[in-house]
Amino acid sequence: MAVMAEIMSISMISSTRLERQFDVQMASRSALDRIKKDVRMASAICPGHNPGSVVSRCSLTSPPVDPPIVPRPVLCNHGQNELILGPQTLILHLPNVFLEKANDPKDPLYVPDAPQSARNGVRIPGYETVIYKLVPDDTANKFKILMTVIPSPVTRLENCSYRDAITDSVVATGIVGPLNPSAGPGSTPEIFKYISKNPLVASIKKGRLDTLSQTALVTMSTQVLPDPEISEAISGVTLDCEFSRGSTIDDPASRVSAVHTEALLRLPLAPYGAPEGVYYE
Amino acid sequence: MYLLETLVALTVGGFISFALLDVLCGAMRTMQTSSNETTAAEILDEVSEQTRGYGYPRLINYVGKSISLVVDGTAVTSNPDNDLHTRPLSLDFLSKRWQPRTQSNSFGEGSGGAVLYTVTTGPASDSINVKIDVSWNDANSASRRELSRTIVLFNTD
Repeated sequence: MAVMAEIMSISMISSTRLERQFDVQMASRSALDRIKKDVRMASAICPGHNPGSVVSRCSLTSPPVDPPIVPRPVLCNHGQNELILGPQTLILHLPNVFLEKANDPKDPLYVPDAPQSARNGVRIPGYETVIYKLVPDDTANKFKILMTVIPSPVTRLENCSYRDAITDSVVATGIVGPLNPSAGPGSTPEIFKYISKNPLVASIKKGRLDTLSQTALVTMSTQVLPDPEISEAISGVTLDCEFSRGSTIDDPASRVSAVHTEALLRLPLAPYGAPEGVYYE
Repeated sequence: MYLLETLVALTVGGFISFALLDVLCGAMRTMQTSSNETTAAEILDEVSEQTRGYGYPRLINYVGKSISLVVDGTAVTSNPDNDLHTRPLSLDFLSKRWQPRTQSNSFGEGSGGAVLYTVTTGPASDSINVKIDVSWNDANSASRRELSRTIVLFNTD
C-alpha cells in the first residue's frame, strides 16, 4: 500500500510539473508576443500619460527634424497619478488604420465572404494609447500585467471598424521576476527596458542601439525625463519576465520560466504623439 | 506466504516507479529541448531585427568580421571586436536578479548557447551578407544543435 501510495504521489507530481511547465511556456510566449506586436506597430513610445485624460498630455510641440524616429523631449508637470514610462510601465501610441467593418470578424456587420476593401491598412486620423503596467497579483509575491487601450477622440470614419476602449485587461499572471539586484525582498519586478539609438558623435558608438540607463526613466515627481538627448530617440523595448506556476516557489511541483525578448519600432519617420495621423496614400 | 507477496509487490512497485521516473525524465528532456529551440528561434529573430535596425551604413564597417555575441550576461567581459551588440541576447544575470534555478536552466549557461555574427560582402555590389549562427547543446542529441539565418542588406543611399 505504501509503495502504491508513493507511486501515485510521484505520478501526480510529475504530471503536475509537466502541465505547469507547458502552461508557463505557452503563457509567457503568448503574453510577450502580444506586447512585441504592439511595439512593432507603434508610432511612438510615450514618456507619460495622465489617466484622467483620454488624450496623452505628452504631445509634440513640433515634428521631428532629423530621421529616423526622434521623439522630442516633453515637458510634463505630471500629477501624482500620472503614469510614467519605466521598468513597470510601457506606454505606446498605435496609429489608427482603416479596416472595413465587413472585413472585421469582430464587428457585428462582418460579412464572411465580403471582398477585402482597397482602403484596408491605410493610415487614418487618430491613434490609440496602449498601456501595459505591472501590478500586484492576487497571490502574494506575484504580479500580473494589465493592458489598457484608450482610443483618441477623433471623428470616426464611416464603415471603419475601431477597437473599443479596454480597461485593465489581464495579459499575464504569475510574474515573480526579475528584480533589481539592489532592491530588497518583496520589491516589484522590473520587466521593461528601453533601447535608443545612441546619438553620441563618437563614431564607434553612434547609431548603436543601447539600452537606456535606469536613471533616464525613473519616476520623478515634478521633472521631465532626464537625459533628453538619449530618451528622445527611444526606438525599442526589451522585455524580461520570470513566470511561476505553483502555490509557492518551494513547491516541488512549481515551475519557473524566464523569458527575454526585444522589439523595435518599425514605422519610419512616425510623428510622435501627433493628434492627427499621417496619411499613407 | 505473506512475505513472498510483499516481496513481489515491492518488486513490481519498483519496476513501475522506475518506468514512471524514466518517462518523467524523458518528458522533461523533451520539454527542455523544446524550450531551447524556442529560445534559439527567439534570439535569431531578435538579432535579425537588430540587423535590420542597424542597416547597411552601420554594418558596412564590419565586413570581414566574425563576432561572438553575449548570450547570458554572467560576467563582465570585454571583447574588443564586439562594439556592435554588447547587451545580453538572453538573460542578464548581472543587472537583474532572477530565481536561483533560472541560471542553471538558462540557454547560455545551462545549454551552452552561443551566437556568432558574421558580416561579409554580399552577392551584388553595394550589398553585405550578415550570417547569424545560434548553437547549443541538447540532451536528446549527441552533437550540438544549430540554427542559422542569412540576411542581405543593400545600400539604398
